[in-house]
Parts: sequence; structure tokens; C-alpha cells
Amino acid sequence: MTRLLKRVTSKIFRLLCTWLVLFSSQVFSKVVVFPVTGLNLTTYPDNVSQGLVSFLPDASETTPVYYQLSSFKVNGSDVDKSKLKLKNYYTNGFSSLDRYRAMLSGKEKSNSVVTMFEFKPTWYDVPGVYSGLLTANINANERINSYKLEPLPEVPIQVIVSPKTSLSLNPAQFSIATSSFNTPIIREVALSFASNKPRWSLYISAENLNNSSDKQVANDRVYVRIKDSLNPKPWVSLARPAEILSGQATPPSDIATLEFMVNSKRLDKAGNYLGRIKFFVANK
Amino acid sequence: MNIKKIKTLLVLLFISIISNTHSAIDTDMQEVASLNVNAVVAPYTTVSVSTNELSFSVLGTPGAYISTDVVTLTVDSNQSTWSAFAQASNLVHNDFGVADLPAERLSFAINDSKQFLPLKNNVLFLQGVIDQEPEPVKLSFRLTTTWQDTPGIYKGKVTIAFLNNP
Repeated sequence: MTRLLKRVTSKIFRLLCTWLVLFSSQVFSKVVVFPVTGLNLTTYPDNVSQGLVSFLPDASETTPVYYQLSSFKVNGSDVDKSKLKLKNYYTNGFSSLDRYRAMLSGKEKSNSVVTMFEFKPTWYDVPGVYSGLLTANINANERINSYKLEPLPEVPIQVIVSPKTSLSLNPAQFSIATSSFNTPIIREVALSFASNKPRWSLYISAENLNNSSDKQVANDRVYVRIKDSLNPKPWVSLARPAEILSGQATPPSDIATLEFMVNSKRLDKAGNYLGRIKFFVANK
Repeated sequence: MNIKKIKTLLVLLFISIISNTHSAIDTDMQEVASLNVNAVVAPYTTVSVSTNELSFSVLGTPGAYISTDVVTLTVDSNQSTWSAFAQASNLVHNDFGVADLPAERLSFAINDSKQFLPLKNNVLFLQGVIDQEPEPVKLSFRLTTTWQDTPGIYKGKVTIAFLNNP
């Protein structure tokens, strides 16, 4: 009788303990993410942008937690999810978020785990706001219904990729003698261009060239053309902005060599005439 | 009348759309680079003369003889100002030992002027500035002979010099 009583008491005690464990899990087991706004990055092509997010489990969170990018879009189009990477204690270097990655092992005992996120856009990634959502491997309902746990928070991701266009000129300045179309004196300038704009046009215009005594070589006498040794193109006056090239997003590359010529007039006073030739980019 | 008003409004609307589109393109342009340019206008001067030989047919009594040739001189320059000078050397007789005809016996007149200027030292006879089309000038030369001059052929040189004042 005493044995039976002891056995029953023991069973009741074990049941009580189990109930207590479950009850405590249901009430306290949760994960908090800092910052609560999620990950916010701003970057531009070829620039690595990194940000930190902390995952803080409470002591009762004993199950491993995995996250992956469930969506990643810009301008309504899907973005390759592997472009966003993370690194923490549980990853081997930076790992892509197109699959589940461990954020918590379940053994943190209230210690937060800091995860570093990284995004490096290429020149082919369109400028804009990239929005995504990190979701856990166990969805909210499953956690609540099956495990009686607090749902894991979703982590919003926002990456702003700024538009960037760069143009380098070689040489960045030149001196050119005025000449005629019959025997033109030409200066060449090589263009190295990069842009993440999906469509662009490159325009060029010239200022009037002035000498020290306010004499002028008008900009309509400054001419440009794209170098083509086999099939020389007609000269284009730079009196007005002239479109010389257009294209699509491109990493830094040599896109053209320009030839410049300044037409002479017999009555131009001898001397040096200074001015600038400007390059503009417009979206198409 | 109403149709006219509507037409006018439509035209205005169209113009407005066009002008707005144009300004949108303008504001969309972003300067990405610039190139410093130094255009060099090289100095030049051209002096041309219609002939390089003058002759005087002194066949009568001593006096003033005007050359048979008129020299046309054209100066073209892109210097700020320029000046042309003339100078003559003594005229030397073909035979050794005969006295020269002094340079100042030569004189010249510009275009149709009747006033002859003696060709002593450098005589300034023409000045110009840029922004001016070159105009040819006609130079007439005169030689004055005297009874003391030995007959024969005399030769000399008239030098036209050009000075730039950049």
C-alpha cells in the first residue's frame, strides 16, 4: 500500500514537473531581435555594406533557431537571395541567406548572438530600395500549437542601393591648337565609364573658351567625334549638349575614345583660350 | 466659339506638356566629369608683295621718276597690333668707283597719295590690328636724279620689315 502510494506520488510529481516545464516554456520562451526595425543598409555598386543584428533568446529558449530570406525584392522584382550574406558564431564565414542559417543554437542561456549581415551590390544591380524579410524555420503557428512557444519574430530587411555613375577621362585636360577641317589637329581622350542605371545616355557640351583679354572661341567651334580609324565619323559641334553614347548598366570599362578639334578663324587673336568640356549622364 | 476655346486650351496644354517634358530631361542631367581645355591660337603673320623687282627708266633730264611697277603689299596677322616699315639701301652703280645714289633719293607713296615719303631709315608706313580683314596697299616708288649722277645702271634694295606687338 505504501509502495503504491509512493509510486502514485512519484507519477504525480513527474507529471507536475513536466507541466511546470511546459507551462514555463509557454510563458517565457521567446527571442528578441535588436534593432527592432531590422536590418537597414545603404550602399552603392562594388561597396560592401555591413550591419549588425542581435538575437537575444530568453533562458528557456532551448531549440535551435534558423532564419532565411523568405522574400527579397526591388521595384517589384525578385532579387537573388544569395546576395545577402550573414556571419555569426555558427556559420563558417559569410554564408548566403537563400537557405536556412543558424542564428541560435538553443544553448545561449540568455546570451545574445550578434550576426553580421553583408550586401555588396554589383554594377548590374539596379538602384532602389531592396526589401526583404527574414523568417524562421518554424512558423508562428507551429511554434504556438505544437511547442507552446512564443512565435519567432520576423526580421525586416531594407537595403538602399544608391544610383552611381562614374566617368574617368584620360587625359583629364589637354591643350590643342586650333585648326581647320582639312588638316585637323586632334586630341584624343579615352573614356572609362561605369553606371548602375539600367539605361543611360552620355552627353557632352563645351563652354566658350576665353583668353585673358576677353576674346573668345565660341563653343560652336569645339567639335567632337568618337574615334573610328576605319570609318571616321562626322564632327559634332558642342554648341549644344550632344548625345555621344548610350547603353545599359555596366561595370567600369573603356567605352570609347573621343577626338576633339577646335576650328580656327583667321581673325582669332593669338593666345591661349581656356574653358571646360562637360560630360552629363541622363536616365533614359 | 466654344470649339475655338477648346482648341486654344488643347494647344496650351500640349505646349505645357512639351515644355515640362523638356525641363524634366534637363533637370535629369547629371554632370559626371569635366575636361579642362586650352585651345592655342598660334600667332601668324603673312606678308606678300606682288613683285620683288622695281625698275626706273630714267631716260630724260634729271628729275623725279616714278617706277614702272606698283608694288602691292598685303599684311595679314593675328597679333594684337602690327607695324610695317620700309627702308632702302644706297643704289650702287654697276661700275666700280662711281658714286652711289643715296637711299634718301628714293621715296614712296601709299595707294593713290601724291605725298611721297623719303626712304631714309625705317619708315613706319602701315599699322594694323586684329579683327580686321587685310587690305592690300599699293606702293609707288619715286627716284630723284640730279645732273651730277653718272649715267648707268644702279642697283639697290628696298626692305620691308614687319613688327609684331603681341
